[in-house]
Amino acid sequence: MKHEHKYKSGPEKYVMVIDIDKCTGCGACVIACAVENNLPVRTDETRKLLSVDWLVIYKITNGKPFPKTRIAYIPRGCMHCDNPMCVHVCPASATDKDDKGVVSQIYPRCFGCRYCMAACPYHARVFNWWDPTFPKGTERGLNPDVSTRMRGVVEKCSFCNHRYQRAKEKAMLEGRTTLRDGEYITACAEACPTGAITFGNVKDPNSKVSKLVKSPYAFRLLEKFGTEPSVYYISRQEWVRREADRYFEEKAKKISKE
Amino acid sequence: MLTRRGFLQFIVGGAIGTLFSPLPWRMADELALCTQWWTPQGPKGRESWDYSWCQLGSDVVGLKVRKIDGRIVKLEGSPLDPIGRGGISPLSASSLQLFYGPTRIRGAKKRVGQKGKGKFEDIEWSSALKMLTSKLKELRETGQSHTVVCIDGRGRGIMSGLIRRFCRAYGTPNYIQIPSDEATPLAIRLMQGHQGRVGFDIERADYILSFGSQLFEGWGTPVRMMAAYRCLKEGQQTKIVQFEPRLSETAAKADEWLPIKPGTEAALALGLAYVIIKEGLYNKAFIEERSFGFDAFKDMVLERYKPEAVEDITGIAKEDILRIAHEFAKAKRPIAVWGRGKGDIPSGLYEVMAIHSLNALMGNINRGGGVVSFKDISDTFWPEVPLDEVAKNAQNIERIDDAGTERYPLVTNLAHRFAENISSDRHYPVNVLMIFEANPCYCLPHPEIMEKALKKIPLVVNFSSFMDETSLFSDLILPNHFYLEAWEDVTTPPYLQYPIFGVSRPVSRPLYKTQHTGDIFLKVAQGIGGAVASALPWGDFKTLLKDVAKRVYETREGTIIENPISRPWEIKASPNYGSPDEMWEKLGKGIWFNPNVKFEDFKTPTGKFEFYSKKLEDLKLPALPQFVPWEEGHSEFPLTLIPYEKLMIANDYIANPPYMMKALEETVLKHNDIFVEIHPFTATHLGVNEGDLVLLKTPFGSARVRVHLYEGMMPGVVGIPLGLGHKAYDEYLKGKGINAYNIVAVREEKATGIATWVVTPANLIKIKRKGHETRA
Amino acid sequence: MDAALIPPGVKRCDFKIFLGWILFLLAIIGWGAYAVFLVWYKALNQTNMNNYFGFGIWITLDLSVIALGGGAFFTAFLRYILGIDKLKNIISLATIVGWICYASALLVLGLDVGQPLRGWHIFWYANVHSMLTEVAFCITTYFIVLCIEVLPIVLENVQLAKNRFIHLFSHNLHEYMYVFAAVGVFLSFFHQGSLGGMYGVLHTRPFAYRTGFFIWPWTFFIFILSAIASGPALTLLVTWILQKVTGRRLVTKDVILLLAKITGSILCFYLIVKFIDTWYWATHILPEKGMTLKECYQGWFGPYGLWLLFAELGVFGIIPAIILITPRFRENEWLLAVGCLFDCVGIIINRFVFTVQTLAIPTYPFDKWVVYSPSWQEWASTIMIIAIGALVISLAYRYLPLFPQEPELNP
Repeated sequence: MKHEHKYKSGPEKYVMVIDIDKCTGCGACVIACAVENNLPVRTDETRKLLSVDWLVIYKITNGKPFPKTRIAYIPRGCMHCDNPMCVHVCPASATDKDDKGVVSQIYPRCFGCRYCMAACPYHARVFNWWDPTFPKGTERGLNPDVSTRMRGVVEKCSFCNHRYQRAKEKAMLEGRTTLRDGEYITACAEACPTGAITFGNVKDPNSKVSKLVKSPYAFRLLEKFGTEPSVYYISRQEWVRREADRYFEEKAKKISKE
Repeated sequence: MLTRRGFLQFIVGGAIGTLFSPLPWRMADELALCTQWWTPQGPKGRESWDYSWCQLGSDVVGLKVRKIDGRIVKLEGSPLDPIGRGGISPLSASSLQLFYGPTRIRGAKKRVGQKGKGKFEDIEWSSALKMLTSKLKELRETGQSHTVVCIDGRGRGIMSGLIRRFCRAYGTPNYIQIPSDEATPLAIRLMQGHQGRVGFDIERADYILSFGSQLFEGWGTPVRMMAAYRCLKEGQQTKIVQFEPRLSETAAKADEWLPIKPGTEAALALGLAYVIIKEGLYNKAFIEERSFGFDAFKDMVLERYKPEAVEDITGIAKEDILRIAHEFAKAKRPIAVWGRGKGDIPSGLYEVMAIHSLNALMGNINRGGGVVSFKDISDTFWPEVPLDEVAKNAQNIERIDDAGTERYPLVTNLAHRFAENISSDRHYPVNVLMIFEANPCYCLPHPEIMEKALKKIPLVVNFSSFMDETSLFSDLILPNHFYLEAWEDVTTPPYLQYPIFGVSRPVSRPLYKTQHTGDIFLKVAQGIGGAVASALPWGDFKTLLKDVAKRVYETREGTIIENPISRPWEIKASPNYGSPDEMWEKLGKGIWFNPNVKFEDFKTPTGKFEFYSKKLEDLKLPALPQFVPWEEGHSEFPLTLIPYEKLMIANDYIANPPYMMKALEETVLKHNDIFVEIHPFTATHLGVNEGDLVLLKTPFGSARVRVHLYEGMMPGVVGIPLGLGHKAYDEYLKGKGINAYNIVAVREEKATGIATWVVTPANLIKIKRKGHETRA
Repeated sequence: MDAALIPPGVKRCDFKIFLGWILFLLAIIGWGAYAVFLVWYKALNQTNMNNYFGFGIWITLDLSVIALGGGAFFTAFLRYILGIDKLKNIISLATIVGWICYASALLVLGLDVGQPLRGWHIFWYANVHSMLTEVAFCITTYFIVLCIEVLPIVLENVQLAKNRFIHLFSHNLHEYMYVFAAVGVFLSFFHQGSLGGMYGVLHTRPFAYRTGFFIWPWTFFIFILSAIASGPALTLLVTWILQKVTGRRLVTKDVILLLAKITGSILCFYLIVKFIDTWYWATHILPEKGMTLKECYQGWFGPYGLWLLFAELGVFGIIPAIILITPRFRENEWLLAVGCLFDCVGIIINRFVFTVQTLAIPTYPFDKWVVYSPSWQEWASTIMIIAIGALVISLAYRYLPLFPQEPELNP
């Protein structure tokens, strides 16, 4: 079965480019994401596979023995694939790909079958195994733009879709219909103190991302699955590309041919 | 009369009728959303934005504050912050949870139960203040003013200046900073004669040697170092070399990581100096014209720090020493950086001197891309304190922590001796202890000694905003505002290469009945009256800040940032403030900074940079940088324990907010068990596997931990993260892991008394086989 | 005590023994019901599933019972469509077993989804591209069909049949049963296939992914085949157990052997297809996705080791196939039971690897294997499902004339 309903974007298609060489693994993006998107916290969050995390940082190593060991950090949110398996499989149409490239999730519609989680090879989707909880008193700091999710539904990174709405409204008030580069960025991209995360409209030839994605060092995770992710990674270190991308060898051949 | 048949008809008819109404559909819909009924949502409202500064932990971050109907919902990095330039650190981003969280203290409190049990009752602020003021007054009148001690955990800026001034005017020598980097200011004082700020111009350096500094994990100011990293990677491709026993996040981002035996950094620095001197690669102009004692330094280094010998001490190969020394010497603006971990795992004086000698050899002092020294407004602002008789007498009384005494003439603080001296009744008894933004019952080695000391002090006053470990041992808690509710000064953070001054305004009404500690000190001073009152004449802290701003205005230097600047350290600043009022207005959003600050010249006895310290010579102490080896570990403790720090763990007065606990890797904490890192070789040797429970033993105690096998840890070394194992706070933090400070070995540097806990002999003893944990 | 309810012409054990057995089953069901309560009340944290294992033992159970419940539609197909009249002697049992399987599947789905009260969203907001939507529609409608098929059997109870209307109604239902059988066969083909398709379409999970025919991946057809190959085996196994437990002969041997022969043949055919499929997958699909067979298994004997493949296709594939296809073996009562049991186990392993192992395999080159083992709540509810099945069969056997041949065989 060929599940390649090629996605057609409008004049905007938002992508994220993460420069692994610049990422120090500090985790500011993870925290900014949690605050922005009202992620719940439990008293024991050490079982990571039960946590509600939209953005996680993988620590990869080059596998060499001490003292030749090197490590790198790969922040990973939702890939907002152009061929999103999760959207194809969701039985209740609770997740969709919109025309600006964002894979959305309708929480009140999701009934928690988790088929999308099985379909997503990036583990971008997480399930609410518990009723969401917030430390007593911190509910006062909840972001009203993002509804908190309930138990038993799947959630994931939304590319801070609500920030797009906010940027759009602001632009409308200023009489503009299009957004400037950098006007709509995700909370993680904004927080990143080393500027490792860049976000923008790849269809805009003047945007930063449209230049970055053309880098010979740019790659995407698990490309061979044909998911066409909207998140690109850049690393000038060969071992990082090799460890991060299962198909590096083939890709390297392709690059050398070109 | 209702018949059975009629009843059934009614039921069936009713059921069919209802099915045709919208009711069942509506109910199905409502029922489907029932789990949302008990899930909290953020109420909608009008949006507004404000500016603030977060100065928790080692952070200094300019913030944009998003508010909904006055309720703060998000903190974002401000592009008008020249230091972080829009970036944010994990702590500042999650500090909202501290602000709203359950561990905030909601009003003045008085202890009712036993000390340490944490039983308090609410007390009116007025009576609390009266109690404190009358006690201080009484002590002053009875000639016991020196028995009042102030502990200051912030240790910089106007607030610290205020507390120090209070102590001086009140008449106590006992102003103690916790934690306090004693070695850096001391080394700079001895070698350069400078008392003030030391900055590292990292951004303009083209070669960086880091001696165990976790540069991108909290050293200096986290957002500044992150922004610097970006700048180094995008710009001149500066090479960073990290010497550290452990492959930290900094080591991972460095261009080269060279694992060094813990605690041998001074030897390495001198080994590098050997190569530079031997091959004549040093800056001859600087050495000849502006340095003193080079020959003595040269002879000593050439004699004692041959690369072969240094290889033996440090474990770094001779070839690497030669190569790195060459690279360093050939660079245009090479810089050697010290300050272990976040800069708060103390180094000894001689180690800092040894590392700084490298900067001097390259003449890279007080110039772009080097180590610079200048004065900050918080150093220059304060007018002379008018001292009365009591205050004058107090100047002759020895400090309770022995700092500055004949035995320890060089240092200004010896926090570890403070606790020991009180608990062992050396010197005089302490009657009042006031604690500001410090948690000495948690973040000093062997906190149990501090607990014992606090139990002996009749009145412990804590200004903490949180129910932390020290609060539990306090008699009176006078909670400070959280930074979002307060007027605060923003002054130059450690290691920044130019001075700044800013004012962080309250962006929220106080959530609880808290008061600004600055205001309290000013009020108490007025209450005491006399010379104390006239030394602290400001009505409140805001008035004081306005005064400071005015002084900054009068310098007619620097500029207030109004638009984002990408390389603030390079601009030519010109004053863009017409009047003090305009300046005050502009400081509400941007910050004043002066990249063209005048560097402080060498003010040593010789007027030159002193490789050989005259002052040390006068004191009959070794006058040259040197490497002093740690005591050899004995057979019972064949391993070496080193503490390491993480940006994701706040480990001083501020403890981790829940989101940071959530973001912690699973290789640091599992349920309540902390992991220590060991190399797989060490594990094989000990017969333990990943995740095994072991007993971590040191001469000072033991703790149950799990092992994490990490290829990036030097064999034979055990790494433990600092900042976990709290006994106070909420269930998000309390009882998770162990406090590494409980078991580290404290060593005093002989000459100075500076306590360090870099290296602790240790052993790991296997407890039992790993339980079959099925959940990941 | 309950003599009035027992079908005429047969003997049943003493009511007290029966009551004891029922109480024993109810105790197990009570334990399971407590687990179910916990799951619904406290949410799915009561399970050991996690963000890597979105599917666990319940989905394995679901897929297994649906496959094993395939006996109902296939026997109906043989009896009503192909007209193999002999099978009328076992069709009632096959239908009841099928009904139990499907009822269990629906119940377990109610447990497994995070928001059971939103179950109707799958119909209301149906996404026609999703294989799961297809499954949901087909299972639900087929379950209704099964209920209709079961109804006349229930109505044959001696007391119910006394009612004239009921008697006529059930008689008429019997007349048209071939219509329902046809509908049931059609629906079953689709949802058995769609269940296979659910995994086969996952081109992001190379372990499960298969290329296919038109819009259906090969797993679509393989799942149908495996259901046909194992469903009747369960019917035979249940018959065998009933005969052993009651000590009575219920079905003539020729009926059993006929069904066994058909099952065996299909199992052989299925295995041939499955071997080809596995070979093609290992040599073509996996490399295309950048993976190797080795990466799909946790060594030889790890929790998800290669032993699973050998168990599924060897021990629990080839062995039962040989037993069932060889007349000499299948005529041995005990060997036949072993053959049927192994057949069922093989299919359960197949469903397990497709649901759980698929998720256990690291997708990223730098990721690790994660192992899942169910929590007691998951086990309890699973065992409860089996206990409910036993309860229903016990009641049906005691009070309904399931085996037309029973009075003759036990004079």
